[in-house]
Amino acid sequence: MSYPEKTENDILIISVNGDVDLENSDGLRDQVSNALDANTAVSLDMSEVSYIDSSGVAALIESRQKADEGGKDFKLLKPSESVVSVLKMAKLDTFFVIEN
Amino acid sequence: MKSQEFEATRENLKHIRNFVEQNLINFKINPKTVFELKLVVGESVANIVKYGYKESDPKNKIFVEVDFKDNQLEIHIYDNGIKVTKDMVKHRDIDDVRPGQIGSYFIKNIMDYFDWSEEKSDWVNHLILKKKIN
Repeated sequence: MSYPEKTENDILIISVNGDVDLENSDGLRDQVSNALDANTAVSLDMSEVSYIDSSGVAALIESRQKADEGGKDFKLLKPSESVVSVLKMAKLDTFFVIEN
Repeated sequence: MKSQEFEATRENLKHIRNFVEQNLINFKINPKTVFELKLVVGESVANIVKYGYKESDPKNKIFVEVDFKDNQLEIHIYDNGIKVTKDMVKHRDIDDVRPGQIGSYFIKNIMDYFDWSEEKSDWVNHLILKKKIN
C-alpha cells in the first residue's frame, strides 16, 4: 500500500492516514525514501494519522536523516493530536520541522 | 477481567490495540491514559510479532488479559515466542536521536511496573504491565 501523493509548489506532499505501525511503517519509509530520491522537498501531511507507534516514528527519523544527508527539505504538515503526543513523549517534537 | 486470543500477525496489531482500548474506555479510564496504555500495548505486541515470533504467522498466538480493580490496572500479555527477560530490554538515552528502542522507552516511562512472570505457565512469556489509575 502506498499513500496518496501530490505536488504543490515543487514540494511532493504525501498524505499519510490511518494507523502507522509495524504493518505499514516499512512501506512509509520506502515511499519517503523514493520520494526524497526524486524530489528536493518532501512533506508528510500527518493530519489524518490516527495512531503512530515507535516503528512509524523510526521511519520518520530515518526520513529526516536521509533528507539531511541529501540536502533535501523534509517537513511534517499538520500532525494530528495523536502524532504530536507521541513525538512529545519521544522528545522528538523539536527534531522535526513541523508546519501547522 | 476481559481476555481474548489473537493470531500474532502484523495485520492484527490494530485489533489487539483496539480490544485493549475499548476495555479501558469501558473501565472509564481517562482518555489521555487510554491513549498512553494503547501505545504501550501496541509496542508490546509489536515486539512479540517482530522479535518474539520473528514472522507474521497466524499459527502464532498472543493472549491478552485486561483487569481493573481498586484503581489498579493490570494488562497481561502471553506469547510463545523467544523467551524474554527484563534484562534483555534495551533502554535508550532519549536525547540520542536514533530510530531504535523508542518503544521500550514508552513502556518504561508510561507504566509503573512491567516485567515477565517467572511462574510456570502454558505460555513461554507472560508480560505483566501495571499502572495505578487515579
